[in-house]
Amino acid sequence: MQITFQRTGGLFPGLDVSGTVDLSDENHAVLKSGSYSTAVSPDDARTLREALAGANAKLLTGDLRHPTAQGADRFQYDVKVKTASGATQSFTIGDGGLNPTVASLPGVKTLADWIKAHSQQILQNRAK
Amino acid sequence: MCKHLRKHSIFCILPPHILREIAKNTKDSEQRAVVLNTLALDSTSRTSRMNLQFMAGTTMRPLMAGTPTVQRSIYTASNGTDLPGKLVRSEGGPKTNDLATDEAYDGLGTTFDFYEKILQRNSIDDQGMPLKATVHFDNQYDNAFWNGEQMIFGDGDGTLFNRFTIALDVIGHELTHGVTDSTAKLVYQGQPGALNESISDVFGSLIKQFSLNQTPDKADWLIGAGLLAKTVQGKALRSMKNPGTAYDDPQLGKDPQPNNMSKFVTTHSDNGGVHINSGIPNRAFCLVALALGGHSWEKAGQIWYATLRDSNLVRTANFATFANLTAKNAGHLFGGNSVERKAVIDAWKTVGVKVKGLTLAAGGAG
Repeated sequence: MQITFQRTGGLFPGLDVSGTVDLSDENHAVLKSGSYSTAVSPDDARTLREALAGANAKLLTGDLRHPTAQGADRFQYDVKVKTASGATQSFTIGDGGLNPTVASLPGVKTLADWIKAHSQQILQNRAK
Repeated sequence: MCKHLRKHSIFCILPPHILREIAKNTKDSEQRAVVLNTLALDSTSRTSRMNLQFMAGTTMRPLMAGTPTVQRSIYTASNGTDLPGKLVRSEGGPKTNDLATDEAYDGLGTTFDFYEKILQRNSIDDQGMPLKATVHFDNQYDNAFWNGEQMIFGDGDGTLFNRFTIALDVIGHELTHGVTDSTAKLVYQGQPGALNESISDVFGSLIKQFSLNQTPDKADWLIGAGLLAKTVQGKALRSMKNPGTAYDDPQLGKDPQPNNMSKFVTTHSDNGGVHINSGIPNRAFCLVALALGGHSWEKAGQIWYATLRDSNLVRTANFATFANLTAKNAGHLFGGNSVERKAVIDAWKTVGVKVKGLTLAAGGAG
């Protein structure tokens, strides 16, 4: 299982980041972004797997952002999930909350929060 | 400007704050209506003493009466993400000696003053909306945004970005998103989204020029100057005068803004490139301001503000629609064959926005 994400938006395009989390190895999940690479803790890896397993795959598609609660200059996250069987799902989330149709689904918010936090981490590591 | 108000010509020479008081206190409904109407007409004209031939054929969103009084509240998120956080400075409160708090407080004040003194607008919603901002959002957060209710500023990571309150035009930019939300409500996607962004840049830059009493030839036309840390190869987030030249850095990449419609970027990212393609209308505004001289807010700013409030500016407007309306409003404010309207038409032509019927014509309004 692999999660690829790209963060765009924010106040200007220089804040763009992208990353890939490879969850295929049960014990050695890795987050990569360009030359930056960091191990994902077993707890985090389990959380991500459970989040994706708990989410309704059919609903994880298209624009999942709350239609009116986005504001301006906020980040957009385009996410692609590739399952072990090779199937892919693509969806978009934002900083301003999830669409009510998916907000209550188990796992979706967990996944979104993880991606948001690690996007910020990637940018900060880029700065070092 | 007062042809239809001859019976009440005294209202045409009274300053707006007195008119607002009359509107608030009078028990005569006809008098109130006349005063409000005068305020609406007066609002776009008083500052620059323009030749007002307008209103016939132009429907403006209404201006509201009320005594403009700034009400600022600055909160700290204490490097967390709960909003609004803890109140650290309210209106009239003393300096806190926390740079971000005091910069946000001062920036909100300058922005309020600009809208009130130059555009006769009573805060974001023109109804005296209190201004709220949260600083120290999240940990080393590299962004500032408007969430529909308030502004939020990160501290920056210190390596690529300084604190986001450092630039007055960024504060003005965020607040102007609120103004757009309460006027044209431009959709934050694609071309209307890029217009939304551009309008925030335009008024953000005007607020900075206003605070420095700069003329357009002296202004830097940069958005976010001082925000990039010393190690970054760049001078700002955007250049309105020369889009695409603000930065070129190994970490941030190259400024992707186009300066002409022929280089319009089609993308799914960034809500359809709202922060990218805004370079095109940004440059158009800058060209108009430079062509007209004086202060940018006296003519170019008035044309853009009238367009933002024009009820013909639909939420899904594209660049061509917006360009047409700026030409129309320039015609209404300064005359169909005025140098101001010609400057607007020339600017859009320079940035490659093709506008049907956008030609100079006797008495034409675009």
